[in-house]
Amino acid sequence: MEVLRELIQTIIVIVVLAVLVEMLLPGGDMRRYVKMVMGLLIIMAILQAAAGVVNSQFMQDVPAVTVSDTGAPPLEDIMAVGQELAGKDRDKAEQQFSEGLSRQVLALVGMNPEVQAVDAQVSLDGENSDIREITIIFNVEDESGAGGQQASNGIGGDLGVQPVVVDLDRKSPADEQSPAKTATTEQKKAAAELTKMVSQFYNLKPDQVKYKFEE
Amino acid sequence: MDILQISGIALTGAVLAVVLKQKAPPMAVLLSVAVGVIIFLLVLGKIGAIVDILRQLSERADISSIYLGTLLKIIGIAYIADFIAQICRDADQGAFATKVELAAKIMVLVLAVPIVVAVLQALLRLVP
Repeated sequence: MEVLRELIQTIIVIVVLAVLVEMLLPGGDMRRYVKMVMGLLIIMAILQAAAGVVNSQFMQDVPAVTVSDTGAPPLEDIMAVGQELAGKDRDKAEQQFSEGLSRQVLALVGMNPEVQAVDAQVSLDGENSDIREITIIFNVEDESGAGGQQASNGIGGDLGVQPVVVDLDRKSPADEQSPAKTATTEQKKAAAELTKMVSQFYNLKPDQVKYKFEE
Repeated sequence: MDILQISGIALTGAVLAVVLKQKAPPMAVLLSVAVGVIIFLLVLGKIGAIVDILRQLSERADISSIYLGTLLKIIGIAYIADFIAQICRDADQGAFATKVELAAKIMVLVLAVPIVVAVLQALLRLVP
């Protein structure tokens, strides 16, 4: 009953609209032409209303037909440009998100003075922009510098003293640099702790956060 | 009191055109064009209210705005063609008036083609 009431109301509005538009029509020879188009539009309106009542889909693709004479570019072109713009925006947003996360991870890692992080590479999942993997890069050589500075500031006391390693098997000057590039056990331990902390902070699996030492 | 203003302009223009037609017929045609344009511009601002009402009614009846836009375009074409054809006839150029009306009819039919196709599709889909 409610559906029938809606249909009758809609038809009444259409009839009133048709009468109003007919009053606007010009006289003379052009009147017949405009009246024909107006009649077609009224048929369309009544069919639309009837289709809405019976929930039929037969009017679904009608608006697509009528768009062709607007002089605007085709709908496919507009959609393609829109998708391209959306893709660019998404890439930019992902890049900004990745850089922000990288800075955040560096700030988190910087709380531990035993190691110095130089970079944090964040790779994101393509679809949902979830964190796929975080790789923290620590500096090997700056560890002594950071510790020395801390010792000179009087913070931490003997924490800044680098353990003295006496290597009697050193053979040639060329071999002297290679042991200095490797991280010490304490540094590796600190890096592992920091990695664990970062994974817990971002609610990631432990294997999603990695670290490596570079010069 | 706009109707008095418009009537006054039209009467004055008519009297002047009659006088000018005896002495300078081209000026009489120009005068009729000018009076027509002035009257058209005077009522142009009031058409917006009618279009608003039509839009509200079409929204209430769930008629797509594309259809209403097409209908208003067609009415506009018909009015402009009628206006220009009348001016051409006043200038004793009946051939031009016929051509303008022909162009308007073709444009109206071109605008009506998508609607005809849409009605046809809808009616054909109704057939089981």
